[in-house]
Amino acid sequence: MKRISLYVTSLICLSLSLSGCGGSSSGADVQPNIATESGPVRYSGPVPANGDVAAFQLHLWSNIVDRDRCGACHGSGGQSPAFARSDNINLAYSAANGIVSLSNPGNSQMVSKVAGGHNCWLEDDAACADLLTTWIDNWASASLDGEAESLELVAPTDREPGATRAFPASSSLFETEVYQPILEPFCNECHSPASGTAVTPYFADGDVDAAYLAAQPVINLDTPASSRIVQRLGEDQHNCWTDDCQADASALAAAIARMAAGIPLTPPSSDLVISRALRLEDGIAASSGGRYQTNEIARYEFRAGSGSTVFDRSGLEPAVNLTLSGDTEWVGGWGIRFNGGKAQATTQSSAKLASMISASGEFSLEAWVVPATPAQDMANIVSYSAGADARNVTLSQNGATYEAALRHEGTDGNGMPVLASPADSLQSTLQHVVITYDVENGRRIYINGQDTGVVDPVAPDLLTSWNQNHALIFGNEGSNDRPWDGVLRFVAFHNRALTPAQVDINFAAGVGERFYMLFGIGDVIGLNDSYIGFLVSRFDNYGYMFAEPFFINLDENIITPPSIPLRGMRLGINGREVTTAQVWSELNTTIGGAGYTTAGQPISPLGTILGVDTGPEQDEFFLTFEQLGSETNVFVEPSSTPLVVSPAPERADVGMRTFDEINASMSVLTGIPRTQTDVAATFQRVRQQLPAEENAAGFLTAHQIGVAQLAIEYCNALVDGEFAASPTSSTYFAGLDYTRDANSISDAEWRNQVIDTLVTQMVGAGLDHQPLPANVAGELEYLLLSMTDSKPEGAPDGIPDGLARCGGSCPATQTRTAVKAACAATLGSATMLLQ
Amino acid sequence: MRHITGNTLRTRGVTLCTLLCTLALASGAAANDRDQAKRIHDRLVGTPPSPVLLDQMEALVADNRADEAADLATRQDDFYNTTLKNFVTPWTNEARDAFAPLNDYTTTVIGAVLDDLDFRRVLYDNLLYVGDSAALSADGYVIPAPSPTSNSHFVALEQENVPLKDYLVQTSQTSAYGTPSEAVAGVLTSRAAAKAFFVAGTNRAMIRFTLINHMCRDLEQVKDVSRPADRVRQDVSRSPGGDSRIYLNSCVGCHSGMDPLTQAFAYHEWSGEEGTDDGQMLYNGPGMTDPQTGSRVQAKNLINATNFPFGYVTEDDSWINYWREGQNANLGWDTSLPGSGNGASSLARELAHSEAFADCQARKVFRTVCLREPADTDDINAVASMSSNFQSGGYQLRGLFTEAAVYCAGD
Repeated sequence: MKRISLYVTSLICLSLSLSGCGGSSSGADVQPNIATESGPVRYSGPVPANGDVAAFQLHLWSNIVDRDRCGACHGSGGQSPAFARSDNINLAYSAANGIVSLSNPGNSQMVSKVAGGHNCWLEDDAACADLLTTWIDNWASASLDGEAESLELVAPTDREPGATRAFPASSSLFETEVYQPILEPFCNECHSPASGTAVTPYFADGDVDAAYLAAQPVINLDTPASSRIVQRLGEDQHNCWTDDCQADASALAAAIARMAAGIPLTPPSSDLVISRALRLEDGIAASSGGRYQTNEIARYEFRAGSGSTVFDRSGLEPAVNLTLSGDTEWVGGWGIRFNGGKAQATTQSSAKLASMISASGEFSLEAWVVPATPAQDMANIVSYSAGADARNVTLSQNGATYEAALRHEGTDGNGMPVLASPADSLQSTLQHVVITYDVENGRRIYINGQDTGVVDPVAPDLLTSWNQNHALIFGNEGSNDRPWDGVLRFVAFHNRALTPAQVDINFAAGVGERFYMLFGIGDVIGLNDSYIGFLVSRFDNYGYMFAEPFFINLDENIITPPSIPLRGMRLGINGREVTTAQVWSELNTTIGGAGYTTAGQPISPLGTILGVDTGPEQDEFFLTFEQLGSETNVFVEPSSTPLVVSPAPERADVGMRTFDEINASMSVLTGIPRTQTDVAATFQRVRQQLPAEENAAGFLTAHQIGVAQLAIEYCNALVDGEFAASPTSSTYFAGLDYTRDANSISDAEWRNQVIDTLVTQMVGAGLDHQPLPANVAGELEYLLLSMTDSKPEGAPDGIPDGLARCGGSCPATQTRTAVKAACAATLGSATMLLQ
Repeated sequence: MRHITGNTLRTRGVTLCTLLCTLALASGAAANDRDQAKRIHDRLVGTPPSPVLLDQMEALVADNRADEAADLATRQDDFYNTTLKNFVTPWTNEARDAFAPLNDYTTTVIGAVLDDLDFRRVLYDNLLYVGDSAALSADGYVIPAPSPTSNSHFVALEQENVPLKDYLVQTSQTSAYGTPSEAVAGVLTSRAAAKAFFVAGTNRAMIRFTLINHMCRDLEQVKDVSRPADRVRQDVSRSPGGDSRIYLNSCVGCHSGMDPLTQAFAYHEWSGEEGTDDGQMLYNGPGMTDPQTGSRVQAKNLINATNFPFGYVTEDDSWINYWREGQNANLGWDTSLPGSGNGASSLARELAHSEAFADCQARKVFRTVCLREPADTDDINAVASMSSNFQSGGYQLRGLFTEAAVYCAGD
């Protein structure tokens, strides 16, 4: 056993030593909460012999002495130990010391006894245990007067890493039991590199060996139902192949179980350099101290893990306990997930908040929250209110911001206007959020220890208007129309505004249940009592956090262990190395030697997440090393499979020209530069209307309109330019006289000078992939020379339909108009557009 | 100004659409030599060829010298001003917008093709192609000088339809912009790329879009949860929405590989606001200290550090390629390189020297020229052959274009 002030505690404090990390690490005196008197017992014995006895009396004894609590049996003349005796506080103190651990209140015998079912005065044994822990904690804080809370590191139970099922080298079992019946037929539309919508992992790869490699990280042979590939079906309804995802998940789990049945349990390979094993129960609870909680009037840590009551653990009577209703779920590592449900206290008990806060005129609301998503509005996280229109204070979510509504003399009865945190300051991850209020600074919002800097839009005022008939509610509103989805892991009310430093202290103290776990490596390095320690916590329902590994030797006679190389450290669980999120696999360092102190030697500041496997009660952890001391093992990376390129769906081998290509092509075909003023202006206007993709299947009417507009502009520039330069003799159109009456130009002249020119210039000659020139010419002849009178449709006007043919003389501009039309029709057609 | 309108045409009883819609191709006919020559030109230049050039190319095709015909096409202005410009422009912005203005990223790629440079240099060398100011001025063009704070030089080149083939000249980002040479990594540190991928955020966009544009893989295709996670930064939530499974099964798959690569850009930043054109690339050189980080590391690398305090803290611009092992080993990394280093250029060299880079260039060119993804075994083999020839032939992108044009010229 080693009582030690660890360096490793960024969750507990930010310094290398725990010294100064207690509730008064800010330097301020820590004053315990004063419990209200209850019950008939009054103390009239000798005065406390010293300050520690006085602290015991104030913080623990006064809360348990009553006859409806421990005093009923452990009082004067009662059962031993008489820690609740009322005749002599000094003797009660002595009795209590035998069953209390001030350094680790949660590990006190008094606590564990009650937690185990010994005469709890509440409905829930855990709630009584929590309260006792709080009271002992408060005693310890006062007794230690803010000094370091030391931690007793003791050698854990020695465990041999257990056996597990390892994936065999051959894929045959996988192929027979899992791949052929399920993965290949039902998952290959996505989870195969041959898929047009390929998504990793490729466990339905056409190559079964490749699929086998890809599947291993998502299959759990020891507990098939815990396989990620199964959970995705059953819990996420991820692309089930029938209407019943649970049935699909069960079928897959059964298939994996059949595969697993063919694989014998084997102990970890003897080639591994491996530590001793541990379970969570072997962890040494890390103190949750270090918080600034002097003025806490209500605190919720969600420790119960079951039941329908959220207990106020402040120790300040009356407890504002809340009752769960609707869709809620306890979260491992202390927390509650709200899925539309809520937790609500009575107005009577909630009145404690109103009375104490309105009296002080200031307060802090502190919470550790995990919003499920930034996409939820008008969602109340913590609310002390009476419906959607009346509140004392509310912390809510509005998209990616937190909002603080507060009633005082300067705001309305609904706490409006709100103070909002900066845009995007809310993230769907664990965040520490604090609203503080005092008459000097008004509302402030802190996130993760930092003042967000938002300024209260309303001048601060007194809180005397707080309504004592409101109720404290988590996760919704009393009217049930402000549901919030997410996880609450901690909530506290203080009847003082925390200072920025105090907020920072509480943020640094972290949240949730934490352990120190010591993995024995003495047998590997040949030095007894040697351990690699980690700070460990239940991170959420699905994972553990392992952080800040350190090396320590618990033999008090060992001052400086020899220098030992350590390389490639990996976490293992239930007999197998974890394949995901290893953060110390690249580690290459030395433990012991000059860098070692008896407080332990930091190895790394990093941490990682390890998925819950069989459950927190059964999961067994261990470490492996590529090198530890003289022992080595080569870690073999899984081999990669060759790249497979799969054919894309067939597509036409022709396509459209795209926007710039169309512009350039029209310029080439007409000889008009792209920079010509009108052309450039029109192109800029229609540019993004033109096709951006070659795929003809994506051709739209809007594309053709844009093409036509640009073609008209080019032909307009061509004809007008020629007319301006040489009106009687076109260069482009073989000497065409633009000043002649269109009607006087013969069909042959139109064909020779205009139609044939357009076909030659714009369609080309000798090209089998272009339309037949005669067909194009025929269309242009109809456009220009048709004598039929069928247009306008349904109302023939007595004028031939051909643009170059009029009832008598044509207008002076008609020749140019007809040429432009023929030019644009050819230029803007598929002969140009398709390539 | 327009003198004819659809209405004018309709009153004369003929709609424009009649001709537009009825001019179907005489499809199904076999491609003769002239057709093949025209398609080679169409696909490479974007425009129909002049009759004279088409005659030349037809003759070459007929003489089984289609590659020379294609080479002729790549000497045309619009191979550079149109085809290459539109080939590259989508790489230069997050929206992959082909309509984006001409910029220094695009001209640098065009210039490298024009000069038949080893195309890998585009990614990591101190290269920049700009308009030749003396020649432009002599020929009457009024073009602003290149500037690290403005794209106006390149916008003017485009507006004036300056033949890039004739006026682009090679320079360096150091001489044109004053960028320290150690900050430069080819087009990745061009003004356009910096504006697009260093703006706001965490610089991870530079890695993601470089993967997309030059390795032909988005993060989904390289996601590998088995890689070491020791460089995943503090800002990455380990329990998004309170569910650490999401991190373990998804987030870490990308971040474990991406974050240690992104670290190469730890000293880079964009000065402008997101959504604006103003700004220039910033770089903390030796001796410079960011007031928030206390080191050369830009503050953006440490944002949201409280999301997971036990995450990685960027201290310098050292990078490491964890994708050299695991499933992404099949990207064909250059074993002569160390797989780690400091700064953007060595990282870009790591990417450019992979087989995936070469394969990606071949695949992109095939798609641009053939107007489709490889759709059968012949296509796949053709792309593989293109990639192989690209690598053995000195990584000249123009060669990929000519090879693809010949392959897709039609039978």
